Amino acid sequence: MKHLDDEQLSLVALGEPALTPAEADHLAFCSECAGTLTALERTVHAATIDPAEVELATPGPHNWAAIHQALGLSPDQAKDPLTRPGSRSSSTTTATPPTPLRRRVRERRPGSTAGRLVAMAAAAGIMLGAAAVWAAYNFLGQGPEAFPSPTPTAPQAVIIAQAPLQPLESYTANGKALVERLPDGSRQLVVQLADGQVSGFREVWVISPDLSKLVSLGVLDGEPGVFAIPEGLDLAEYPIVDVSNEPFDGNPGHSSDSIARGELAAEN
Amino acid sequence: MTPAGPHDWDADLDHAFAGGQEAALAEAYRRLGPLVYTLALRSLGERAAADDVTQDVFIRAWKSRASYRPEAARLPAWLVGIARNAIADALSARMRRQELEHAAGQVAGDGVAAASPAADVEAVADRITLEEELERLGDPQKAIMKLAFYEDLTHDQISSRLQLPLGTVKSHIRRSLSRMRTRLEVGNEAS
Repeated sequence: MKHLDDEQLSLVALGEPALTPAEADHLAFCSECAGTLTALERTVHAATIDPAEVELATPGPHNWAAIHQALGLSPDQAKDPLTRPGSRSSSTTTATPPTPLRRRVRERRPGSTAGRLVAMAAAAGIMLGAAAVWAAYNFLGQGPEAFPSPTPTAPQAVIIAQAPLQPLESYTANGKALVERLPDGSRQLVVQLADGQVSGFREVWVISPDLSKLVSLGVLDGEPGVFAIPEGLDLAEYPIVDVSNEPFDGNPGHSSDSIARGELAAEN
Repeated sequence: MTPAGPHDWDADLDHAFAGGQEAALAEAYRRLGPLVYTLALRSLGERAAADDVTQDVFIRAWKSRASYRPEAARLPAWLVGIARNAIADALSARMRRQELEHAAGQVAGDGVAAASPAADVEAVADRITLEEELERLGDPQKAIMKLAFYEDLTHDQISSRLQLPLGTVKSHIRRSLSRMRTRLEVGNEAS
């Protein structure tokens, strides 16, 4: 197979699933194409990184003192700009970078373990078919009609993965998360978690195993909550389902206050 | 502490700096001092060496302000360029010194590790460089890339938003991204 063209690789670097399975296979084995993609991804990462999320060290006051002295600046500039009153607050209020409104969703290297896991899960799910769906609905204590489905009749969803949700720290509610594949090929995450007392609102996330990357899927309101899983999102990269308590503070990031969490396992 | 990129950088500051207003230097230090210092600390691993680079960058910048042209570059991008050069200078000076020290059986470095992964600090500096490059792209490339980067739109959505043919959007994305990639690779190697 010929190499992938730079146009395709650029789109993939931007998080668009622009590859056919054959092209994805090529990418998994071609170091040249993979090298180009890595360089493009690095560019996209740098262009979209949120500076506010990177913690920086603060130079000590002797640095400004040395600069001030070496340049013979006027005495009214003698105070370290980093410790001048109001400097911190003005920095935080003005530094509002145009970062992506939501975390960019990427799926690539479908030849990786991740892709295979999902493929296996899908195959297993298809064999189990509707019976598994029915069992899961019953497990959740809901009939199919209770699900807000995109069509008047409940879709023939196939469960491809699920996770028990266990309470964290000061919370007590147990729950469950299911990944379903719908007949049109799209996936959705169904989250069932008792509506306990939270101070803010509940937000559903999927998180990487080392907790370094996360994608928000939306606000959990009522139960169960059903969330569309973007086509490009590789759940094997983000196997942890997390429900957080988010304050109404306008900060789109995770509050670090998790109510419940669980790891998705492929259904078989 | 949040570093500031050109996105919230007032162009008046560029001109004030070029015009020799000391308050603009102080503001530049307040906004970019932590980034410069952290980059140096990450590369050099020693606080004393990072202190030297930080001072050097702002002293160099102020002394050469006559050669700074606000219409050619925003101050943050210009300062990041100076910082990369100063760090490279410090590294090669250290290499020469270590060859001597190594011969004498000494080892330098106090093994400082800063909080953020080095790659992310580099990426923040790169972002400042890239925002500069983005501004230079001109439209519609600039508009296309901003929609792709900051509004997370697909090329399809960009095509309908800007009413440009799909093929045009795709080829602009390819060329712009490739140009930004080159800017980073050339910029970082040159420093």
